Amino acid sequence: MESLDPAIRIVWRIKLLLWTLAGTLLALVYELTHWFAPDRWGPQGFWVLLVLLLGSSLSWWLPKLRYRYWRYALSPEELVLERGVLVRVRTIVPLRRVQHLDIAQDLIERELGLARIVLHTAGTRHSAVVLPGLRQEQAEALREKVRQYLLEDTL
Amino acid sequence: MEQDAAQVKPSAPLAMRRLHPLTLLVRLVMSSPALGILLLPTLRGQPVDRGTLVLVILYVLVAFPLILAHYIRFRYALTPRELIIESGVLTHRRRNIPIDRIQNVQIERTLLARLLGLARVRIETAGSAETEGEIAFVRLAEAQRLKEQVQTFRRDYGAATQTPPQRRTLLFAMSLGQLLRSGAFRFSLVYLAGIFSGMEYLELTPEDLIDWVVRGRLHWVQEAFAQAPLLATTATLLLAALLGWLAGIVIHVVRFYDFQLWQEGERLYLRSGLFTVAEHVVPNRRIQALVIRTNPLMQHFGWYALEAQLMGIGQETQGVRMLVPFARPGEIQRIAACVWPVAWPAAWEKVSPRMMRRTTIRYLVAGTVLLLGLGWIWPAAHWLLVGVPLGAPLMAWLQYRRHGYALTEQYLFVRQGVFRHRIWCLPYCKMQVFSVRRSLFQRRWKLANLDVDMAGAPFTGTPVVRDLPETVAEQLLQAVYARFQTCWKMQAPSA
Repeated sequence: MESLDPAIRIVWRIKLLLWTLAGTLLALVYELTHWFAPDRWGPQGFWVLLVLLLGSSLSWWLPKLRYRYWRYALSPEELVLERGVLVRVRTIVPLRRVQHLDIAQDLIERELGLARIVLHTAGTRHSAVVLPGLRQEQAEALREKVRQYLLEDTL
Repeated sequence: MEQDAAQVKPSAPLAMRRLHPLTLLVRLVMSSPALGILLLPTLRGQPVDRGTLVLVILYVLVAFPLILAHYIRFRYALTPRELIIESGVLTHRRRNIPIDRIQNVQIERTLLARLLGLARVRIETAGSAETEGEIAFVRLAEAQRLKEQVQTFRRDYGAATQTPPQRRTLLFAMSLGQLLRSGAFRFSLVYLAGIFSGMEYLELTPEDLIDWVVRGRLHWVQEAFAQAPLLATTATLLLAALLGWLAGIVIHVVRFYDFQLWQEGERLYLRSGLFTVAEHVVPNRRIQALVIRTNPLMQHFGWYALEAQLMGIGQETQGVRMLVPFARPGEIQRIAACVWPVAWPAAWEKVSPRMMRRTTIRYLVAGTVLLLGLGWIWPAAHWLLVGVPLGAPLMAWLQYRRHGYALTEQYLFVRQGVFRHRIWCLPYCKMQVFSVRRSLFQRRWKLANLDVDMAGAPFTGTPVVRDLPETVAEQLLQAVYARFQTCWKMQAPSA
């Protein structure tokens, strides 16, 4: 089984840091509006610090852990994914079940030359299976393989 | 990007098409309501203040380039094998939809589009509620070309076959007596809650209503209740239960009056209803799973219901459809056999007994949290906490007893649930995605869940084989997946 591209950690980290930033701003608004309020919870600056500390430590550790447990393998007839820090999930997606597939890149991923593949099946809860953290050419090669399979396999 | 897409047909380089330029105009007009809201005060004759001006400028600076960028980024191409759509301004996306996966091509024309001679094309594949591909907007002729081409290409792969008309046979019908009897088992507080919230909305209080009905003859009851709160609570609960029961019967009768299930070749035909007669046609190949369901009361008297889980296009045709609302097990099995040759299992494999411990802990935590929350509003609820250490293990034991699975040649059977007991019959051929999941606590006890995703499943209450020993879960996954593969190799694919 293969690991993801290590650069995905940076993508996850940036995204988590953005969330942390948003949380910190919220906390900051609370702090500034309740700075001298008699009924405020906790000492001044506590909430900003808490969010900042929790968020940044999570942004540091979570991508590492996620990366450690992410594995994938494409065999001729199926894509196997293993992932999850708290809940470990092993998923088999039979390629003949794929209805259509996407390659997608958001801004951060594009900056780092990464892409993710999304396999859409007719299922309910796993109707979109995402494989993130592939180098773009890797993603395209993988897409080609799945595509060839789909075109050869008549429903 | 264009080169790799052309690999299938190297002779013809893939020409990606753009949308019609008038799309820009349509999108501008479509986005104008937002601008209208921003400008509402001005339109009402108030002078333009600086804030509105800044917002409008911001809007123009963001929305207009976005519309343009969307237009520039959006490209599509139709090859004999697939439809390719490239889109996305910030998130770039390239989607490949194989032609034989396409179920439906819809041409849609809004008023504005019609004025400009444009059309929106929606492409739908099976199993998902949303539209998979949308091409908006193109000239009407181009839309029709897309639709026709997809249909011709699909015909090339033999996707559409006509079946000769066949004789109809009645599989199941319900008499009024049986309908009433079955309604009596559908106790539901949901309807009651609906009635009460409706009364709240109309500002009718129960006291007014009762006063109006009995004209003050029951004052002695009201006085008795005022003196004994416990009596009042019990009476209220009993009354609520009675009302819920009656509401359940009424709703059930309205829905399933004159219920009939017919079979016609490879299709099922359903009709029922008191006020509006609903008719449904269910082609056999769209059935993804059969579900037998019951509740403890129904089971005690030997009654069951049969449902079919359907794959379809869009929300209306997808989901769970009742095939037999109320019947004896023998009849259920006879009707199920008309759909698929199912041999229902006699013996069930049990999951790990550790499931009881996990479930007990779960109910303990959930019950305590729930009752503490309730106690916040209604302090007397704290007394109910006493029941949690008794109720949790009991429920866990019942859950464990009612949970099981069985493998046969063609089907995986799963049963679970205490109050809503269900037995799923899942054909290997129709399975979609296979997962084994282990949470933090399950890993500590070497347990795992096996989860087989099917098309058309409801979002709650899907068949999961819970808390198997890790090794057994892995073996079961391999066994199920191997059968899925042989099923596809053996028979001509039909799903």
